[in-house]
Amino acid sequence: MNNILRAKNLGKVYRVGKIDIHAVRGVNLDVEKGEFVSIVGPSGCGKSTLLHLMGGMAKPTTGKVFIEGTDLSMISDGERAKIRRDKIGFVFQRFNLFSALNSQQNLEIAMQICHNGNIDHQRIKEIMKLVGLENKLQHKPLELSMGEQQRVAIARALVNNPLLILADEPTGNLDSANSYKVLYLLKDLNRNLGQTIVLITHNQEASKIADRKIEMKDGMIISLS
Amino acid sequence: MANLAIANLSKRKTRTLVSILAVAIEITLILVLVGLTKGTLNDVASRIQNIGADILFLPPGASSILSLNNYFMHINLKDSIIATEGVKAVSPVMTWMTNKLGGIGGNIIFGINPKEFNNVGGNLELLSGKHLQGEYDMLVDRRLAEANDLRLNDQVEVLNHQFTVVGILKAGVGARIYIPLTTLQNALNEPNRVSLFFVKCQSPEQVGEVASRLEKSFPGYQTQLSETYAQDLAESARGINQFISAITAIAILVSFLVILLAMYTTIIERTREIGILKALGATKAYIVKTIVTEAVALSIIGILCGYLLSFAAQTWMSNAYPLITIIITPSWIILAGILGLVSGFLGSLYPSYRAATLDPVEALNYE
Ligand SMILES: Nc1ncnc2c1ncn2[C@@H]1O[C@H](COP(=O)(O)OP(=O)(O)O)[C@@H](O)[C@H]1O
Ligand SMILES: [Mg+2]
Repeated sequence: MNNILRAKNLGKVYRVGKIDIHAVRGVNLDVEKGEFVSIVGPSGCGKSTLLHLMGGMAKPTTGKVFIEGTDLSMISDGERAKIRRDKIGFVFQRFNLFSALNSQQNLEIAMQICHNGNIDHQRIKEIMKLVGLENKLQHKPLELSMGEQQRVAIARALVNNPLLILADEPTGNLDSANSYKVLYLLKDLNRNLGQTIVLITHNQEASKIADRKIEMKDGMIISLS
Repeated sequence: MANLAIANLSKRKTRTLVSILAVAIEITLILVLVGLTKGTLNDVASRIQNIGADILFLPPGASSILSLNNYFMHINLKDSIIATEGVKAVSPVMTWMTNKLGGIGGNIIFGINPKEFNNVGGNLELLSGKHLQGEYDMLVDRRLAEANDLRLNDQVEVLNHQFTVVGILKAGVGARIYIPLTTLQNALNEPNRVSLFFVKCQSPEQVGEVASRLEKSFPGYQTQLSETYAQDLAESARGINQFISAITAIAILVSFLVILLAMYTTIIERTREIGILKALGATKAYIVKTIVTEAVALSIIGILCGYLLSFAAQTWMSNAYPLITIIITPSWIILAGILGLVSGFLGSLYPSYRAATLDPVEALNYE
């Protein structure tokens, strides 16, 4: 089976005071191994919520998410953490690096969490080389440009060899030159390494980098291409 | 190896320093207080034991902490004590606690008959000068002399009389100040009374028997064996031990609260980092471990600083107050260290629990 991720009738309702906000409604979605999928839609349409549900960061109000056939709603918080740890690499708009640690240490933390403290320094060097930052191992986030920070974040997401990369507006904080660098880096990872990627963006232009584009509006999928 | 906990220590310098200081003060407070009590009790006990008498004979109601005494008995008892089987020598002594104020204040004075005192074993060893002869002669020991810059032939006022320092004694035997018995009796307006008798037995094996014989012949009067004085003193100082326990508990509580607050503000401040850890798949146990490690690291540094501070305090006090002895024992060093670790560990438990149970998405979106 090549199915990596399956969302079935997925829905998420936020209750704010007495008002229900239907952030995600009735989403059905499959991601196959090796795919590069983009989910595009205006701000506030529920993309981030959907990504959090798919990555086991939040629990759906209705429906189910399966990762390699495992129903995330049937397992404990701890087991969901392990799925994130072993199978998913998140990339965020705000990079979310640990500011007190340098690039190498940021990758080491991810490795530590995954491999019970064991660290493969060779692997860290290779991944940093892959994102073009092999000479920035000792730099702390604030000593790097924004584009570089995002590439370190991508390296961190890759370091444990995840099944799936979930990227939430990874170019949202970047200028166009750096955005292209990041998007083409993702493209390369997909093409050359067969890395499965789900890219979320509000930018139609950016979404074109993917092989398959899904449009979202008001919490629903309005077109699958 | 990357360590988020350790990296964060150097990032929040003020918080780190305050926490370390709190633990260091906890440790110092415990070690110095305990050391001071131990030192003082030890000093008092060993000085009484060094006299060399076998038994202290005390009036009804008197405490074995001689400086607390206000009870006197008639000097005529001496003859009956000497007549008791197995007794070799008796030395009547009047004790008086000098006024807390002034140069030699806060010290116990023994009024003695030098010859009799000598006969019960009290070999007062002169470092310079001569023994008591005149009515207003005074002997002081080396530590008191040094602490108050007293020299031979200096004048010292006690109970409205001028005394002359005629000899400096080797420290560590009996009181720090000796004057003639009759002088002290007259000054106190108690001409025929004494505070205690030191008793020397004919042979060391008889001490127990002699003591019970004395208690039988003098109902109500008390005997205190010199051999068990240290032990008995420590027991009768239970109040002091309770006081130490109370101060220790407060010190532990304060450093527990400081660590708790420090770690709590830390996790609030770093909510987003905790969200990142959760996105990376960190389990609750990993997050708890990270926070607890940071607190324990703080505590260990604090404990080491506390040790240094304690030894510095010990050195400083013994220079500034030569009469004070602080004994810092290895077992208390270890115990204080354990208490410091435990309070740091406990202080980090609630914050780490809060961190571990944060909602991943909310933590990640925290501003
Ligand atoms: N924690 C929350 N509580 C209440 N409403 C929320 C929460 N998170 C998101 N929303 C709402 O859900 C909708 C979808 O948000 P989001 O998934 O962030 O959209 P997008 O990522 O596409 O901008 C928005 O209307 C947003 O205000
Ligand atoms: Mg979003």
